[in-house]
Amino acid sequence: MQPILSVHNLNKYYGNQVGCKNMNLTLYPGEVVGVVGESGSGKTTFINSISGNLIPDSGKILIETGNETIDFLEISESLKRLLIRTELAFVHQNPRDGLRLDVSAGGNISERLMSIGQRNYGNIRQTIFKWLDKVEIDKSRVDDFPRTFSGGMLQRLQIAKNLVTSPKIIFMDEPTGGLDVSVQAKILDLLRKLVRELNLSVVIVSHDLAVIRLLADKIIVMKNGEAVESGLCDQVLDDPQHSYTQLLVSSVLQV
Amino acid sequence: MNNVLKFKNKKTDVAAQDEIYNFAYLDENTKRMIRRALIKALCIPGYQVPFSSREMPMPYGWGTGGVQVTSSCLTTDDVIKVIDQGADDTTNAVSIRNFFKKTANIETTEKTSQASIIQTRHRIPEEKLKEKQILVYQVPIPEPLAFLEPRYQETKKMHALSEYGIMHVKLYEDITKNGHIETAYAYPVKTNDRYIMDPSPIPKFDNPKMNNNPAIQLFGAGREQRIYAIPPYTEVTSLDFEDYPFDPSKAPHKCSICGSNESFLDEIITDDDGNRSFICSDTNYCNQRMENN
Amino acid sequence: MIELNKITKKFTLHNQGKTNILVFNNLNLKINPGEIVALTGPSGVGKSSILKMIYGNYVFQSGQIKVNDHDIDHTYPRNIIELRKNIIGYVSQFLRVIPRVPTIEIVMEPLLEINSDQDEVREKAEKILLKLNIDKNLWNLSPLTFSGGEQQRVNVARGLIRNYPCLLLDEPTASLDSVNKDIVLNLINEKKDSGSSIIGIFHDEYSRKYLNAREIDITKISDAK
Repeated sequence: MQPILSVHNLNKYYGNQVGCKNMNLTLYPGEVVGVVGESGSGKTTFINSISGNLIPDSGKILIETGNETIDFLEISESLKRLLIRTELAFVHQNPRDGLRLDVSAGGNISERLMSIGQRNYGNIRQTIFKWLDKVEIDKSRVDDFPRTFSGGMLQRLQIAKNLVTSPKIIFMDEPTGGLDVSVQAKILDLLRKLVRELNLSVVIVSHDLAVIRLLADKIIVMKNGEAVESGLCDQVLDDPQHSYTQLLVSSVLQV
Repeated sequence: MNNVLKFKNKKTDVAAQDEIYNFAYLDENTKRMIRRALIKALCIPGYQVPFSSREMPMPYGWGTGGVQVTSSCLTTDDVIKVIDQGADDTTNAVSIRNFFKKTANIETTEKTSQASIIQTRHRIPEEKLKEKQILVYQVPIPEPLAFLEPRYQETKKMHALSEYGIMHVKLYEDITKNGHIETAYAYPVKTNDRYIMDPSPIPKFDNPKMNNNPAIQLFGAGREQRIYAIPPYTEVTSLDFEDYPFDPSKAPHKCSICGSNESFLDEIITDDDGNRSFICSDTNYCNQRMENN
Repeated sequence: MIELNKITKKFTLHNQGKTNILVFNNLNLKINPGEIVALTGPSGVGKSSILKMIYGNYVFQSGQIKVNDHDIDHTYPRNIIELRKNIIGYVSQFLRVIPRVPTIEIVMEPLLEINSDQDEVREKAEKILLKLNIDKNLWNLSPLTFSGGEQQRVNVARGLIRNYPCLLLDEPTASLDSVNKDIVLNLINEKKDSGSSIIGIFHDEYSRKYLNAREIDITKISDAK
């Protein structure tokens, strides 16, 4: 089987400052790869560089659509935007960055559906209700505006908005950051369920090892812009080889 | 220099005035620039072509775009009709018609069938247009996506990449809020199956007239500095949903003057008790019907 | 079939004075299909580590591990993920509890990976839970508040709901009373009879004898310790 996403030797600098360098990643269909690191490790730069939000300085990003292999950094901007609209999805840490606040909840979910050509209001409405159910938002909120939603609800709405067209690759940047612990737990359970049910391929960035342990199959540990260790998630966390990974693992408080 | 001018102004005939204004007011270089924009616009139906809008002797918001387009199209053989909300006799229609009479000295008419150029604000004439006629629309806001996306850089990309998702989001929101698509005028259309266009604030009732029309349709927005166009026999469809199809409705009444059941109506409050009557918005259409009876 | 050839494993604790702990040196082990092997040796000698290396949870510095002719090679994590899906099953010593997941779903999860029929999988899960004397009332609860024995039985249910050609068991009967111990041992025998290679750690001789396991003393098969 071909990896659905492969990143080779990716580099992104901010002037002379290293954003991330020598980064590699392979993501297979149905896999979750977690990228962990502390503040300044370069993990956000990395995920932004591979999802189209930032343009890296060098490296290769290959996406397998099933019909062909796309060299993501070489294609035209119009094709890139089309991919970002259809096959890729990005769940932001702050859900307000990933939602239209002046459009109703249902309208937000409907946008991706209509941008791929759906034109039946009744069907679109049914799909919206299905997804509100999936992300456990009460159906009665379908016509409400996001400004009336709590943080957890906003994040669940953003997840629904992104997943409604079954994108091939989903990028998540700290999807539970900034949320209350109980709310976080609910969203993690939701993500876990959706990943398994829909066989999603996900790259998720977090500073929280527990989140990554829960969701990821493979893990990349970043420090100072580089990957210091990578491999099977449970292996890297249970038998860390690199000194930094050992430090990270030993620093996590047990409840 | 002042003496020369005073001397000239003593003559009041039209010939002297010809020396002050170029034919149809705009200088030839400007007309050329606008004609280039028009040709481009006709080649790409519905695509907004930027142009360098000139200072006109009427303020922005009073039809400067339409006037510049008309001016650039006029020849001495043209016969011009100007309507405002369907009527030839409102202040604006009269002013613009006089403007062209003065600066171009061409024949004017109120009869749709006799005009070679029709400049209109917010209506399409009821009478079917023919080949070789030109319909010039006055446009306030040319960008159909402006309400949800105010950034020009973004809307430019969205048009280029056919990213029209948010247009349907608006229609979705309408149906959700009102049970039907509420937009009654300036109803967005898709031109030649490609660009989404704002047809100017014409009532949605008029939208079907744009489709496959034998005439040339030109759109000018002076303040926003955009020109777009629909060449003859071009497909123009109004956006809708499969299960909420476009409905070009009008008030369900007859004109109380000529009795027409088919024309778009204006609602007139006739007295202090709130009594109302409905009459044709297109005055020439109404008059013709009365003459023929 | 499980093979370990010349395995060296050590822990290097970088942040604790760079301490090196050598666990195995030149470890060799072979288990055939339909065989049950019980690893023995004093506590801390590395019995669990052997199971974890086979499962891919621990790395090893040199040597080779083969399961049904597949290499356990950490340069290709994907292959290990695939092996865990279909070839290698693992019952850990303690149940890893996610506080909000009900017991029935914990047991269903490994089977859902290869069978998407929710109803069929649920039925199988219910059957094995009943066999292990986990009361129906507990199925929709998280095992968080269960006793050690109950948690261990949920763990066993999860590990044995599927058939794996290779099965790794880390003290599966440790906290069980004699009745439940026998039930679990019977289940393990069933797996053996279906042809799986099984390595287990059983600290009690009764379990080892019940299963007729080949006992292997860790200290005898490795140069370290």
